[in-house]
Amino acid sequence: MSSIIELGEDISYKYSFKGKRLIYWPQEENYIGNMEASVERYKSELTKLYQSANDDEDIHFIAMDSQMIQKAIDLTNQVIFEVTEKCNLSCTYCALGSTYKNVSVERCRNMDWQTAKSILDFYVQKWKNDRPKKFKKFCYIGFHGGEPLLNMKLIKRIISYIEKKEEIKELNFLYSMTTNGTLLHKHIEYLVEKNFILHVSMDGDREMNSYRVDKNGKEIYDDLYHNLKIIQSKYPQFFKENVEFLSVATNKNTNPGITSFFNKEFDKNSEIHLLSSTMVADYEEWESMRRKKDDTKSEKNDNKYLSDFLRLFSGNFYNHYRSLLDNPKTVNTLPTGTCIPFTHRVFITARKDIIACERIGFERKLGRVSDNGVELDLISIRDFYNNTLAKFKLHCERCFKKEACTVCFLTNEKYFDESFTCEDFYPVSHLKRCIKETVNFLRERAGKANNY
Amino acid sequence: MKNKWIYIEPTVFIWQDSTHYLFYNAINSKKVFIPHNNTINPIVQSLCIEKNSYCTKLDDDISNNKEFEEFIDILSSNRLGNIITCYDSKRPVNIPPKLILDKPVENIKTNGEYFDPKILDDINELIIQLSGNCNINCKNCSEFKLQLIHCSQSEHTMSNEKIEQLIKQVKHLNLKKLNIIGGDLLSMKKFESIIDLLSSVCVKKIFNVHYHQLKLDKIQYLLNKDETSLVRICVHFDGIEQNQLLRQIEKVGKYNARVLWSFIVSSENELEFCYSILNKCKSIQHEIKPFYNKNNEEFIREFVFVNQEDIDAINLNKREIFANQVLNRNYFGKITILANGKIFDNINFKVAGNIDDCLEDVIHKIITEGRSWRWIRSNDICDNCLYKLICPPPSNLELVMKSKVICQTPKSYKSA
Ligand code: SF4
Ligand code: SF4
Ligand code: SF4
Repeated sequence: MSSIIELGEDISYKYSFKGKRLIYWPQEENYIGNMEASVERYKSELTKLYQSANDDEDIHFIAMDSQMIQKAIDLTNQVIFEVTEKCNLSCTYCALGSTYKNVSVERCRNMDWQTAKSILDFYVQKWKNDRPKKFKKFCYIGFHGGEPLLNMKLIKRIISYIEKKEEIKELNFLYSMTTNGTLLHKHIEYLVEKNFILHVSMDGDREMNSYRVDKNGKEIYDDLYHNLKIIQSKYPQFFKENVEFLSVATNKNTNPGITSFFNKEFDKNSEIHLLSSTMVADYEEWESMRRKKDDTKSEKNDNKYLSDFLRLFSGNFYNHYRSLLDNPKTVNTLPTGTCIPFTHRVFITARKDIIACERIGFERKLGRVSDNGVELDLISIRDFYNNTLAKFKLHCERCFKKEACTVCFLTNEKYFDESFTCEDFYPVSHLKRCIKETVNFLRERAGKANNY
Repeated sequence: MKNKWIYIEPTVFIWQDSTHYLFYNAINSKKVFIPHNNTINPIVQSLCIEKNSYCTKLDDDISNNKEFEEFIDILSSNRLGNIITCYDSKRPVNIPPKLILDKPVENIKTNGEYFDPKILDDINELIIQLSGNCNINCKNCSEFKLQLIHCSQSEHTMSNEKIEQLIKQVKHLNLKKLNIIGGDLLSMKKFESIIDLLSSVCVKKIFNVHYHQLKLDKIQYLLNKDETSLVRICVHFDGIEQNQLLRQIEKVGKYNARVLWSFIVSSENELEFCYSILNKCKSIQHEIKPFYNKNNEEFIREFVFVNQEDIDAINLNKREIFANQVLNRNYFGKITILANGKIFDNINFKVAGNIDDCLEDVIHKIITEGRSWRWIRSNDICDNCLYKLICPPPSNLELVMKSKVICQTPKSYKSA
């Protein structure tokens, strides 16, 4: 039987990984016997049956090529500008604070207009030629920082440049901003006028939010709360539709705590993120503040193992309608869950570097904006990715999460060390545990339901 | 104390109507009808309760019941399930085949932030009509395209500029197939430059031409130009002379691997004609497609419609059954763009949009409105039939024949 995982006598199950089938495997003593002469005979028939299955799947890892990157560049429809490095706060866990290496004494630059313009011209050209409105509906422009509201001048200039460009008149632009919210009261009118989507960072109530402090170490909770309440009452529709919350999972909050705070105060939910793990300088401090991935999972499923099993190993789970159609025996894919750069977005720093995404270390530059415009060398980007992906491949091949992997190697500094192990590696022992716990849970659940 | 348990394998679907159960094992495609009866009804009911995980405890005295014995025999001989004895704490718990969709269509929003950014990945096959110009005047011209991928006459021709624009977009789609149709493709003005343009799209292309339109030099040009292309030549047998057809087949013989002969048949006679051709040209690539011409219902029924034997032969795996629950495996992902710029998910349905609309909007409309992409038997006249999830998906032939079901005697299948 292909790719069969033995789970041990005590559980009476086997698992076929490629066919995603959990198969009941009776023991001698369980056997009553209807058809076959013996349990052995029965099992051998069962083995034959599962061997004959025609829907086994396998994953084959491929390498990135420059065409993939070019296609992604052509299709990028989200550009994020780090309009300034400056920030009016000094949050304890900030990726630009003392816990991380990113910090350079002079985090004090604003992006200049020429950089923004070069990028806009580069993409306007693409959007105009390859991506007329007929094809794609939205273009997203994001503003990050530091605190982006500290460079409203540039933001306004970028937007007015876009609005004036004839060639892209027919595109729909959506603006968004990630902000700490403390300066919102000064600019809210403009943001409402341009229909911004605001992602406001807030970790919950006063106590949960207490890592967020200003330069003098004073907690900002009151100012932020006040600002939000004003927007909520002055622009209720905007607040309802355009304001979203981002929270960081720390040792001071819990997921249910965060959820109930935002539900109660603003009739909203918050997207909960992990503390950034790129470029950590002070691991001790970092460890003391962070909550791990598993603790951030929503607690709505009654059993974590069962929900993992259903999602990863039951063969009942599909992402889209379209995934029901492709019936390949072998899926070709890149190792890890890292996306081909620029597939979803591009991030431009105030220092003119081009980076794959705002979530990764600023060291990982893929290109630059210079006096000559946008400089992207596809070959070196390709080699940079393939280099690490090739090392990952050795782990991923033995990993049982490879099909649904969400690991982006760029988000963890460790993955640039010569030798590393993937933090999320899912060995066969994890799989066995997941199955055993699932089976136990289901047995217990059935027992409770039937009172025995 | 040990108890007796009955369990169902995790690959088995159980469906029922008012009189029967149908057990279908997606791993060996065994299909078994079992009539309802008072002994097994409560057992099946209990098996299907989610918390029981496809397994239920049996009363001691049931073993001697004849109906029960039969039931177990059927289950175990078809590998649908079995009966065992074990402690409560070691009972089997199987996970029934139940589709979980992470992003069902209902969740796709039009709002920018929540728009499915990969919605265009839904498109897997495109049919583009470059021009409707043709001088052949076949008798049923306007009917063919309703049933087949086929040329059809109209006064429209896509401008080269439009074609160029379209090709730019097509390059960004994740297509598996691109079908090109006319009019008379091979006689189009600037044929060569269009082929040059199309050859820049790296996807399998099928150029559909009519037998009466054959121009060998053009076929040669296009096959040489574009490694990924294939020519499908459709042949209708009315008014065709056998020797002439054989000569043509021989002439394109050197492209054998890249020419597909599509024989379109409407009657027994034509079918025989077709077989006699195939007998003489054993090595050609071919397909035989039935065509309903409003006078040949008998023939179509015989040729296409499923009978019990066909149904017995169906072997769908779990994924395919899941697909049948929510979408139409024939049409999902297919888009037709006509020379006049109109976009269809299926040419027998209402227009879905226009070439000047945003394609994402058009796809959004198609998928959320539940048109041909999600046209399934359960929503239709077959809703009461136990075969609705394994029967071939509803098709255009059923639409044009206004017949709605493709079984030969639908009633008898509702419960065998
Ligand atoms: S979890 Fe780690 S080892 Fe497993 S597939 Fe993802 S990147 Fe590879
Ligand atoms: S060759 Fe095709 S387009 Fe021309 S008349 Fe015949 S069916 Fe119509
Ligand atoms: S009634 Fe419908 S589902 Fe049933 S056999 Fe006929 S065509 Fe198939």
